[in-house]
Amino acid sequence: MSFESWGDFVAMGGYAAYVFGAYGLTVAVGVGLVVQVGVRKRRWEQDLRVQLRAQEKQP
Amino acid sequence: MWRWFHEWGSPRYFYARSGRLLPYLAGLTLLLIPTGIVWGLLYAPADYQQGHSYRIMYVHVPAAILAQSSYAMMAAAGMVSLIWRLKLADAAMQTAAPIGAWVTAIALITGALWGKPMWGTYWVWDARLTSTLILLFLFAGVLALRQAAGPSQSGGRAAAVLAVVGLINLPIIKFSVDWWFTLHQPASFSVTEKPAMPIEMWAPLLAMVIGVYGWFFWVWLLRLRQEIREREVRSEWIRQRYQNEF
Repeated sequence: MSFESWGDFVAMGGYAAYVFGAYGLTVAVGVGLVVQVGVRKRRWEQDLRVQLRAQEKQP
Repeated sequence: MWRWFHEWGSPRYFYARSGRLLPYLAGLTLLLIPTGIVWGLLYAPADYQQGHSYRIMYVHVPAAILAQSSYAMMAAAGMVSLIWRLKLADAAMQTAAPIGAWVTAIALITGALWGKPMWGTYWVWDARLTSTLILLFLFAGVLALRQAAGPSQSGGRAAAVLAVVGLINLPIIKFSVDWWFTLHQPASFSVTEKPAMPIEMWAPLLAMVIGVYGWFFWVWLLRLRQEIREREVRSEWIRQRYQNEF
């Protein structure tokens, strides 16, 4: 551990805004892109389900 | 060899086989990235010149490396799509573009956040930064052209040409720190030389670099599989897959 205390870590040697800003942005985009594909897949599956049901009803 | 190429080039075959890779890629990402972040933020020693600000390196350098290699992969997919007219390669190029654009944006923004405390400015118009900005525009250009052209493979041709021509930018980014005067420091990693950093500093960086590659292939594959589903929605095999599920 290269910090003396929790407060020391949060202060990040005076660079807290830059360091945590950079990490926060990176993690947000990294998680966001994974979530985005999941949402797109689920919506597409719902549409397809409706289509397939409608087809089944037709003779 | 050619049989292998043709099998994997078929969206149906690729779709059926590639799903098995997903848990490994997800596992690699979820193991290495949190490890790298905790290690880099908490345990790596502070830099004797830059203090704690250098910790931005653990997100900036992997993003910058990935930005360039994801461009090379996108252009390679574009080239295959141009030469062999493979639908799958076209879809691979299209789905790599937005991910690459985001990664390049992260490299630029984290670089700016590092530049402000160290250089005193968020941005300078030097060769390294400018050529990386051009990389972002290339990704955006390929994406825009590809989206405008519609889902057929032939529609992707203009975008593929742009992607391949844009490859010229990669050596410019790489050598920009040697060719022109710059504030930017030279490469952190090299295959031929030992790193200038002590192991406590570069080990978390290595974890992050491998981790972001895992992440990239994970997201790329997820997107590519969704793209295949959407493009092949009228074909029998994809309907059957879903007919059984619903």
